[in-house]
Amino acid sequence: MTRPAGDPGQIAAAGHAFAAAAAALADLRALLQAAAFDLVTTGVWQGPASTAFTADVQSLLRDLRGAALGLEQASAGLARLAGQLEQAQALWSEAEALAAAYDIPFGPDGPVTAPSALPDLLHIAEAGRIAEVVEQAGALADEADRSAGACLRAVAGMESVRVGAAGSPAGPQGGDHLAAALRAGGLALDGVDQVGRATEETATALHGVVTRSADPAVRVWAGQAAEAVSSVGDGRLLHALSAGMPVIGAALRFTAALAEGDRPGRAAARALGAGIGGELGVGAGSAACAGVATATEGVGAVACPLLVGGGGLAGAHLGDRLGARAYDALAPVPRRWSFDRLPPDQQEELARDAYEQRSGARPELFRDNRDPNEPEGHGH
Amino acid sequence: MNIQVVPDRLWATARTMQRASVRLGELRGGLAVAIAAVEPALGGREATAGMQELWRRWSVGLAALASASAAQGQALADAAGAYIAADTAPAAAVADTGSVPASTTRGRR
Repeated sequence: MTRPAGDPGQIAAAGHAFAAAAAALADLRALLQAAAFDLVTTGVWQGPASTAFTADVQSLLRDLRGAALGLEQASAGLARLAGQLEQAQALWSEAEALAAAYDIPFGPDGPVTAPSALPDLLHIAEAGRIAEVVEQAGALADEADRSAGACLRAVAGMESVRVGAAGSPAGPQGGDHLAAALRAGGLALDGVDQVGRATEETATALHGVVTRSADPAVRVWAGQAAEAVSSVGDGRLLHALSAGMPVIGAALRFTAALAEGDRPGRAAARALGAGIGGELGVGAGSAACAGVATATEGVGAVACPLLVGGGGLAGAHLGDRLGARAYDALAPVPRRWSFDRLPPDQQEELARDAYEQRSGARPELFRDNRDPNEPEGHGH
Repeated sequence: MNIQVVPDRLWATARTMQRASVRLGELRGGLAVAIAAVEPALGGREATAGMQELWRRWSVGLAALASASAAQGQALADAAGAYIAADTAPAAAVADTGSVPASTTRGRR
């Protein structure tokens, strides 16, 4: 048993250096992320080469995150080691001081405890107590060493990987979730709106049967059914919801398109197209509803909600697509180089640009062992 | 296929990635110094072995990250150059879009 070796001050300083390096890596990652976002996500650079670049940058960002995490862990391990080692050395010093106070011989391996070397029982007892303190110091130092070794090996063993051309598949991004939630919200609101519209159209179709049918029994049945359907459509909540639908639905569609990465103009074109398409679809569904109800003497009116609602949803979807296409065809593309003029072979060459080749030659990198969706210290 | 790009922004991002590569190299150097200083001060056999193992792998890994960042920066620069070189009518594109003329961006790396 010897005095616990090591320099806690030096170890703590190394821990600080590791922590500073981790912070610098995080800053670097944020810088690269911002640069790539500016280049690609704002829509400035589009095409196959951009896609390959994005995959590579995402892979690099994951590696940087893993490396920063590893350095943080190593820093924490070194700080722990410094603290425990300091404690162990303090215990050893305490034992030395006790031995000096009782004039007990204290060598490099600790106190002399042999009874023959000590003058009396008091010294024998004190030597035993000092030996216990020395044991504690040694055990603490051993434990600190083992713990630090395990921590550093774990960081070292953050298993390195060869990152392929595509890297790890990227999980859904926050914007995707938001867009999906907004789309779902818009769909639900459309549904409420179309329930209201469908009840109106069904009632109208049934009233038409009442006025046109030659069979008195059919007229009575259709009249009762029209009254029942109208009472559903007259609900205050449904009315209140339906009144705000056009504005809220358009706003949701616009926001969802923005969240999907569209420019504001394109998002507005999609929202407008969806609104117009939805109205046309509802109109077509209503016409079909009236026709079916008349042809079947009222029985076909049960299909009205499906016809009106389905027509509205299909129209909104189609309108969304057409709005986007119209925008793409008509909107100016400011401050951009257009390479549509490139011959196909040159376009192909660009599509297989240097990223694929370079990423294939990429050496061993760090793996981030944490869940990629787990919140991190710095933002995306 | 529809490829649209602003070459000067490609150049700017390429430079950022090259700078990141240099910074990664600096960080690697700084860690090497810190580790060289702390290794004899660790005291215990396990901790020393762990640190040696860590640096054996991470010196390679950090160099790889620097290399990857530099390669991607260079690839961006290559792509910008390729786009400009392949543009069959750059003058018309400038007139149409108001972007930076090819002659002023080519070779900026």
